[in-house]
Amino acid sequence: MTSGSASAAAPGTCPVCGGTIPSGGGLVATEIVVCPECQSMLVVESLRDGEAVFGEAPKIEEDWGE
Amino acid sequence: MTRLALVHSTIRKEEKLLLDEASRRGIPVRTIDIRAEVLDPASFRADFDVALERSVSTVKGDYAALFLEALGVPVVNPAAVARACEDKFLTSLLLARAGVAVPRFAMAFDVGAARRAVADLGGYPVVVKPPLGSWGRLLAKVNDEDALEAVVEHKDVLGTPPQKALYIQEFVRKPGRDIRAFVADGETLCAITRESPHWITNTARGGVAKNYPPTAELRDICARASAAVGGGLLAVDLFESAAGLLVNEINHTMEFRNSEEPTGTNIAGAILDYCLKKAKAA
Repeated sequence: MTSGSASAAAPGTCPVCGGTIPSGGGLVATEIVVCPECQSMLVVESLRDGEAVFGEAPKIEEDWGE
Repeated sequence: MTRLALVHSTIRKEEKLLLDEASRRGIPVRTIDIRAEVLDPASFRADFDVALERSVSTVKGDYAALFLEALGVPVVNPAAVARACEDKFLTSLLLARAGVAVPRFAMAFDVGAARRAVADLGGYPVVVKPPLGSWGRLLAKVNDEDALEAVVEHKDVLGTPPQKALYIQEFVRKPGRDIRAFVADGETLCAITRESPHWITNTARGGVAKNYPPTAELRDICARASAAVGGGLLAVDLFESAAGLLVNEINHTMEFRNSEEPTGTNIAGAILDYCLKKAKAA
């Protein structure tokens, strides 16, 4: 579930800047992470053979919160 | 072994803490991304004993809770508790009716009514909030009538219908912090202060969490606030005022990533304990 990033990024890479994102293990699908290179908010779209595929994180919506 | 469903949308740090804690305890967890589910009572397989609703989207979380309750699954928090907490106006009404101290508040729908509401509340400054919302977003401290007119006009022209319901609250001069208490069916587990030089002290807006050992006054008002909204697992936000503690808001899917370390409390563990208790009681 993403905001619909236009192009699929290779596993372990940022779909915005192409930078490498260390997975470090423990990532789960739908988790939000920040790209260490361009600081874009990303979401873990899926996990393939232990490597995460990232998309752009969904934008915060009006009803989001705690 | 009790089976838990974790109903989520975007996974936050809190959901990871919950999943890690469940894994350490060997609790079987089914994660349910509510955004991708079909809530069809004829086909949905509720193969779990209790559901923990942690959707970051309030609307989707509400429907998930209603759906699972209709299938006979206990949900933390129940849909009725979520409803009572997610709408600031309803929360304030329930608290006031129960005799729990709250900042003075009113709702208005246009600028003329908003002016009268401000006068009723004792004058400027006031805080205008959307009734639905979180993380300190879209709050406005309104210091004078010019600002009130501007805020109301912006909401009227640019806002969605819920934004046009003006929840107006007296501005409480708090001592550079507010208090957040974590409460389970009325019992205060632990509490923090959120300190900030800004009048908005949410940790999502940069407030710094520090331990606040619960006092008798805090425990008492939290117990009564919890009862007013139907109990459950809550984060009660309070202001310290000259008149004593005032309940500002109550959160039903609380974030706690910044609160475990200062309080020394395993909040994720306490949440799981609470879920297991609810499953057993069902």
